[in-house]
Amino acid sequence: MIRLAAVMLVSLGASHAAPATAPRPQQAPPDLRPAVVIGRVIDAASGGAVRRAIVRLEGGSQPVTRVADERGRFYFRGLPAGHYSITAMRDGYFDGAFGRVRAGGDALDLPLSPGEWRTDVEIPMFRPATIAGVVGDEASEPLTGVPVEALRREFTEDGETWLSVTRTQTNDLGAYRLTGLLPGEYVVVVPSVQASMPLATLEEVGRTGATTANIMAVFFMNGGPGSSTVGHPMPGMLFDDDEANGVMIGAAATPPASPDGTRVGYPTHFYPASDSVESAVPIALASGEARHGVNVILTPQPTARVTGRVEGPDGPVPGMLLRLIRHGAADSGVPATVAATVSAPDGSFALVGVPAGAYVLHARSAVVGLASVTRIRSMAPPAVAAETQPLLGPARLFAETPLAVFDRDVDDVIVTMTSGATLAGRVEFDGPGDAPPAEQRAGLHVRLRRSTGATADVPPLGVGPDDTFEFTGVRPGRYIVEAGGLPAGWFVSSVTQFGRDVLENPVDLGVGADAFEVIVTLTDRPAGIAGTVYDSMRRAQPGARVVAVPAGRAAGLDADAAPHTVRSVRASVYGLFTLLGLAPGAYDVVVLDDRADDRWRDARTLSETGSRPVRVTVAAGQVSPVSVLK
Amino acid sequence: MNRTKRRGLAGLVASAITLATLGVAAQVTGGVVPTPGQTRDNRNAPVGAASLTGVVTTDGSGAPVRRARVSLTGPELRGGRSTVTDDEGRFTFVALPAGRFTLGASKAGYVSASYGARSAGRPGTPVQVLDGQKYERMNIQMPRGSVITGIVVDDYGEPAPGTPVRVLRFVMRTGERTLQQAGQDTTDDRGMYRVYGLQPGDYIVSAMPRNQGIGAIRETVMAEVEMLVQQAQAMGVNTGPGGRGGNPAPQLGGRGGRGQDLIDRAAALQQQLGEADAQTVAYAPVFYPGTTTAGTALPVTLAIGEERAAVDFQLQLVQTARIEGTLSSYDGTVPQGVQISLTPTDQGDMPRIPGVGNLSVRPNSGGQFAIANVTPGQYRLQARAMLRDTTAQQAAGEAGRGGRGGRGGPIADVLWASVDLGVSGQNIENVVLALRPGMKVSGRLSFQGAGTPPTDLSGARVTLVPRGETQPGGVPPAIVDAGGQFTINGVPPGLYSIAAGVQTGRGRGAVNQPVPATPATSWTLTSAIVNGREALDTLMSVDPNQDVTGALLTFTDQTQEISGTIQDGTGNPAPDYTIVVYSADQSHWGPYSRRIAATRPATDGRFSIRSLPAGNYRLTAVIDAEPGEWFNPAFLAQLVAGSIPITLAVGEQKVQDIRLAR
Repeated sequence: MIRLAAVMLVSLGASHAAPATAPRPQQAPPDLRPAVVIGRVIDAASGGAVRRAIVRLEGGSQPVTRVADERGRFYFRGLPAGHYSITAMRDGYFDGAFGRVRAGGDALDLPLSPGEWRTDVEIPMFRPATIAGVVGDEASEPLTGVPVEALRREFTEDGETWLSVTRTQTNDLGAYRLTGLLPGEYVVVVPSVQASMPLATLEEVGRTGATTANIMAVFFMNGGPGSSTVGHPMPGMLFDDDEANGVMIGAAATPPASPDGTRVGYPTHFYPASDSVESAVPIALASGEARHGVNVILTPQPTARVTGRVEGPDGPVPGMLLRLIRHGAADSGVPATVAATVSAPDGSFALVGVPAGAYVLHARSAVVGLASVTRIRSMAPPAVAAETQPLLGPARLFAETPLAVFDRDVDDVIVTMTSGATLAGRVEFDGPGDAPPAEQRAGLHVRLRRSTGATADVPPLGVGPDDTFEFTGVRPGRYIVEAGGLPAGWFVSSVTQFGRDVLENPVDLGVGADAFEVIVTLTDRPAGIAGTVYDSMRRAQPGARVVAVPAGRAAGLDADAAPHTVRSVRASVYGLFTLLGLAPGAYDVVVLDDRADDRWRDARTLSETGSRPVRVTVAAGQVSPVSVLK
Repeated sequence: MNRTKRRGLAGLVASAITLATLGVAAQVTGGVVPTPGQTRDNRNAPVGAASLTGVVTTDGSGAPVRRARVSLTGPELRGGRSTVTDDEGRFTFVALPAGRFTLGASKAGYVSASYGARSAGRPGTPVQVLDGQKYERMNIQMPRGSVITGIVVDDYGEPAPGTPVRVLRFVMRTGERTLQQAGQDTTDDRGMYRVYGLQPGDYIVSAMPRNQGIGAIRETVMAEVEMLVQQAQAMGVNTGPGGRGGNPAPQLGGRGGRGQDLIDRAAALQQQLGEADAQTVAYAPVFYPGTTTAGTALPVTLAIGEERAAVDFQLQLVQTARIEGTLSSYDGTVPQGVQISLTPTDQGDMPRIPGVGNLSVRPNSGGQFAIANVTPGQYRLQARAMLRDTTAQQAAGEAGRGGRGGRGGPIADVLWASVDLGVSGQNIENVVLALRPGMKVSGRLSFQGAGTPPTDLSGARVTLVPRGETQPGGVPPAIVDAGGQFTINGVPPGLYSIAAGVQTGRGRGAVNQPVPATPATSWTLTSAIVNGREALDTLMSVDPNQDVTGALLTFTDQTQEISGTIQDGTGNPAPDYTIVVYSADQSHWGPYSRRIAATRPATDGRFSIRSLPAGNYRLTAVIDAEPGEWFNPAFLAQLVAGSIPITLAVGEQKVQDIRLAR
């Protein structure tokens, strides 16, 4: 027990507020006897050896890499005492690591004492799961080169969401195979954006960087012409109609327009037969499972045409990226863009192939977050050359216009662009001593995150020498303000605006609604909890998952806690844990088996599979001790 | 959250990469993407009253092809037109202007086909459209693409996921049999690959293992060494020369303290790197049916629409060797920018496989070089050094075009070295590559014709293009004086073809191409007499230690043309033929011959061939020929019996109509 406490002291040594829970051991001469690690890389499912994995040990003076032998064995010798991590890589497996108990789970540190011989180290490796099937059209003809995506149900700091995790294309048999999947719940989707472009707009390529970037964004909206086999460009067609001829690219080649000009198209399709993720049937995959026969039949739907004009503060706006997005689905990880185009030089636009539905027409001025944009210098075949030029700043103009499409064309839609909002503030350092020196603050930056989890379209902003920051041209919406690149030993203690906590409650930016005086406070006296996980026999529980949920008014877990305020860590091999950087307040601490799954942010999972919650109050600048019974 | 960000970034990178591919897409959609800067009003696009209809069917079965993309392109139809076939395979183009168009169909999984093509991959018949006419039954047969599929296993017989597999097709290009990449795939989690949409033909299939283990260790350790060295340098510790690149061993003996600690760690890692290099087995690229030597690969022959399964591979671990050596030069110094390359020479009749086998390194400042992971085989180790005359940079600039050497002044000389090596898993040390100066090729330009030759010839270009085996680097450009005397310094030994162009009127003339600008006379190279032989009809040989002098390059402003109409026995156009015109002199039959040309007549039977030099020719109409097959002497020999003799005088515009027997 004394030894455990000593180790805990060491692990808390980095923080300034380690509680003195055990007497300091006697100073002893340093013990320099080297330690040895001998182990095996094994297949987690079968327990058999994994041959020739690359095994890497980190934590000593330098990382060491070895190749395991034919029986999965490896060794490392001459190791000074300390904490090490061991990882293993091999084709056909997820990366394995010491202490990892499920695919994609967290690893544990391996502590080695002087002269220790660890001969029983096992590095489990997990096989990825697979979903396979065939995509056909209404005539049961296999569709070739059609994109297929897997969405995984995830519980992130933004709550429960479907995230696109992998994408492939069908082959000549219409067959697809989504591989490299973690265990979990999946939805299979055949995304399709009716991307169209009048030729007059295409001719703007290369004239201005912003328009070019937007045109390219439309061109590659269905994943681009990339395919595993050379010579199969994306399905696409030219269209001729009354106003202009242009290019139209759907995920699958659509039938020609009927004589009266009406078109059918293949909208985004969720397995087995649905147009939204809510009514899709999820597929639950176990670790390494291969699920076959996930077949999709695409059926054409009648479509309409939406035309109109983009207006800005100074008149018609050309070169805007227009995306028609399913109502309520914007900013989610689910493919929801139905049609896309770029406004013509006179500000006009036409979206073709739009099925009936409720939408929001999103417009914005330029792609952001690109380091550079590739400009097509000459697009006349065969001489194609590209060069890059630096891209302009963030988008400045935005519009979100609700739109309902029934069974007929919608004309004269006016999209009014408005300027983005400003969010400004500063970083303050709150500690007993001085603020960290300038060189430690060089990497300090502030970033905005959409409260819905989507990328904010705003690149992170470095903090100026006077510790201030100002985001301009930010798309209206609710944002969480985060800080990154923190100086060593510093933590975010609060983010406030006029005394209001905006760490937990997002900042609302609207048209003409800017936010100033957002103060990010950093502290070098982090608050947190530290303790031990043990079982009813008072034995330490190595590797247990410890979760801290801000406590609500009711007893027990608070299902309404903002997901990004739920924090977690794995207990060490001694069952010890430390969770720093918590906002002061009351927390319920729950322990669960990390083998189970990765849904520890989900209140229901916690109440069903977690231990009885232990209430802990965290005060500013203090690390509160806690013991949790598993 | 992180995942979406990562995916976003990957997407952006992918976009940047695929932008180049957009050109391909544009071609397939009929050149729909216009050149920027050429604005046009689409509403004023040419519109006529002609129409064109047809059906796309599957070659062989005759079944209609649904949702195929059909494109119509031609100079009269800027941007081209494109449509999609309906459920019966039908397509229609209306409101067409008169003109000469190319009509083609494509669909994923099929081999793209042109109207009138005799078979997959052959050129089609241009469609001649007259104003207001209706053209029906312009039917296109599209072959279903062939497929090569199989499994890649490792040396234990277990699936090898993530292994790239390439499929290369034998293609006749200007009479030479070459290999062209036709498709690729990466094995899935079961080790399976499938490459589809292939034309019928002969293919070489290869699996290119990634050698992840070996490569990854090396990469990781290298990165760590570099990081430590950089850190140490930032702390002011002298890490010595060669901190990066071929020999990153840092010099020990820095200032001690933390810097010394970093250096010690880097040195320890260096030792690990040595161990990684000493690892002498690697997975070699494997060619079907299971050889690691490209020369013994067997082609897979695919029929139309054939699916060839079980094209399986077992990856093989082979002993690899390390080749070490030193460069030496006649003056004892090692020039900068030397490129050393190792090229396999035991590929037999196999054309060079793009991206396979060639290894290339640069020597360190001491002239030492090392090439690791060399698989067994016969190789040629070559070195090239471009010596640039930095002092002459300004003078060259004043002289006009003499300084086309690129950065650092004009190329003053090229040094070369070449050694043949046999590698069999044992390391080869102490190879000496002795750099020698290249040869000098010199001569003069002359002009024949009615026009006035350019007065200042210093803008003329004379270029030597290496033929045959691959050569690293290039040949320096010629220095031409105003009077037309030219010199090329530093030509490595080998076979070359010669090309030249002169600047006329506006802008510089393209090499060997007539300049279209009418105000000035356009001059094309018509003869190059080198060592008493016509170098435009044969290749020019540059031998070691033997300069080439007195070359005479003659330009002319005369062009020749053969045109006419081909009709069948009933007097109707016979566009299904290919017109082949070839020299009556068999010594001119062969790859790259400028005295052989072929064309497809349009639907109205008209054809035209320009740019043949004056001389005696034979003309034959053939019903089906693989593109480039007419460079094959055996093919031409069969044609002679049924051919028409034609004499083409200098500047003659010959009309030769062809009436086929009933």
